[in-house]
Amino acid sequence: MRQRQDPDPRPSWDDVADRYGATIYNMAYRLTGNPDDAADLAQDVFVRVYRNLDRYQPGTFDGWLYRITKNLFLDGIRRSRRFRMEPLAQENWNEPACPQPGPADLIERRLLESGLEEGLGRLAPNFRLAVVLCDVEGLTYDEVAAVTGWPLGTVRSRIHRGRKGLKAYLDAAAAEDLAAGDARE
Amino acid sequence: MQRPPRTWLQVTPVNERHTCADHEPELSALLDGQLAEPAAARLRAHLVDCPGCLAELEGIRRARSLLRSLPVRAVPAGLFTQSAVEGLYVSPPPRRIQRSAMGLRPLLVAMLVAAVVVVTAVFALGGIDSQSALVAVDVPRLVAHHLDAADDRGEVVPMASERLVLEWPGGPAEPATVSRSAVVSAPQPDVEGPTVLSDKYEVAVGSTEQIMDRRCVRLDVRIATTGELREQVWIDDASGVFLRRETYSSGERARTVAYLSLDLDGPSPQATSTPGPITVSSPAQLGALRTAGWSLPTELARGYTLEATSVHSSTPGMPLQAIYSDGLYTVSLFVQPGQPDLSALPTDMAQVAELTDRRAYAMSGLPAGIVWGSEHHTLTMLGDAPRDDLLAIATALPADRPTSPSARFGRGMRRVIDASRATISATTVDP
Repeated sequence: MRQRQDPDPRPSWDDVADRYGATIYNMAYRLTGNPDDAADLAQDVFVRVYRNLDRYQPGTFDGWLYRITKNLFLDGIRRSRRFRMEPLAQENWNEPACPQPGPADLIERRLLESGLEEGLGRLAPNFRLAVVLCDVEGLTYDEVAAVTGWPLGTVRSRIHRGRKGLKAYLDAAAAEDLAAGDARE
Repeated sequence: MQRPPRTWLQVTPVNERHTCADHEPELSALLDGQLAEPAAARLRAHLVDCPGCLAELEGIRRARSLLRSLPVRAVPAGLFTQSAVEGLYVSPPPRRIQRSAMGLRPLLVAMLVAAVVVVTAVFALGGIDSQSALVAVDVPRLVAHHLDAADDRGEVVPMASERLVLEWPGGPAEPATVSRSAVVSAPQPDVEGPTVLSDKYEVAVGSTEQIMDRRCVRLDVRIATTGELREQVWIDDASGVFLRRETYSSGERARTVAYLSLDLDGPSPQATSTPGPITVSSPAQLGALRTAGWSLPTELARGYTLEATSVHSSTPGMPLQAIYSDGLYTVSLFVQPGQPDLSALPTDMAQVAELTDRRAYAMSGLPAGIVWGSEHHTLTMLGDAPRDDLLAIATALPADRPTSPSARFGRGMRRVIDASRATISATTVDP
């Protein structure tokens, strides 16, 4: 479990940045799976925290932070679902008669350094949130329940299904490597 | 390869029903010590006899330990510095300043307390009610109302489906598509000529071109007074649908909207989604609204005139929408009683740097929007108008703006707060 410390009842902007910047950013990174979205989400959390500092009731600052991060993360997922944004292939862009230079080529998403990060990114948002809170951030089941508002049984099941999904992803990746090795022989 | 069953596992038929499928969901809880004892003992016993579940447990343990050992990512330099989030930064209201003064050095405290007293006095003189209720600005819902109202104005072209692409500066990193099915309406240009446009614009008919193998005509729309290119529109010959539209703001291409696919020939669906309880009233009812205490201009800057008002009476907190148009773009002005609750604003709404006389927040995209407070009201402006139009309209509308002494005072406060922040960080570094 990661070391956490009790903050002042009402920390300042710099306090939050110094003490929680790394926590916010890392959680955002694990939830979003890439540096750009992580920076966006982390800054959103930071602004939301700062806007509401005067309303913060002394208590578990961490829990408050996790709740805000969770809310913004799930909001983002919901927003992107509502607009159903999909990546656009270059050839689909209907240019008028005089073709202009098309949009930049879709950048091949580079392989993340470990299959785990990619596997994490493929989990459904709720399962991802569950394992990030429990295993990456080191929260107990009770704390996860408090942050998410999920019943304990749901927490238990989502943590398990998240880990199971990761295991399945890693197993499949390993099997693929093995098959590729066999094919070369 | 199971061992001979243990007798105590077979005491009752109930236990026989504990299959791998029953136990499997408990594996994580067992690992984490979160499985209550009778169940934990049952599962442990099962694991002794079941290599499959044991292997699953090991796999899950491995996934858990990998997750726990994920490297800690370094925070990008400057991510949380004040300058980095300047656009997102919200100046705390006076009350907040007073509270954050707690624990500062006595001199600073004294200065801040004095400052708060003066701010309060200024606000009281200006007639601004600091106690007035905060209202949440439900931007997605306002957007939906605005789009519904904008759709209502256009003539209906039945379409089986459409797929269009939107692109704007600061929008998605990659162009992204928006698919909608069962679309029943779209704006339709006046096929007789651009007479629907106000005198604000000059329209030149350009060349005949092809998009998606459909014959279309390009129109160039310029601002009459300056000759500045505002819009290029490719209009489908057969249906009048805008196949592609490029919007220019301050000489830059600010937005592109283009169809990727369009089905005008399929069976046209009936309206599948009924818009909210919108009552579009005629401008003639404006007088009644005024009598009821609503103050709505009949004209906005840049030649936008009132087309309709819409009362969302059944929706608490968002009662009035005024719809304006300059013949080309539509702008909705939502008026809510109370001050905007900044903490509830979507965090992707950034403070508008151009509007220096007020605290206004903007979102980009389609439609673009600006939110600010004005005399006990919250104004939310949404529209497809280019940014320079939106800013000009907002500037001309009333806003809670500091009088000049308090504006100076606000800058002074800013410095005091910055100085106190510097003090805090200095003491934090040196414990």
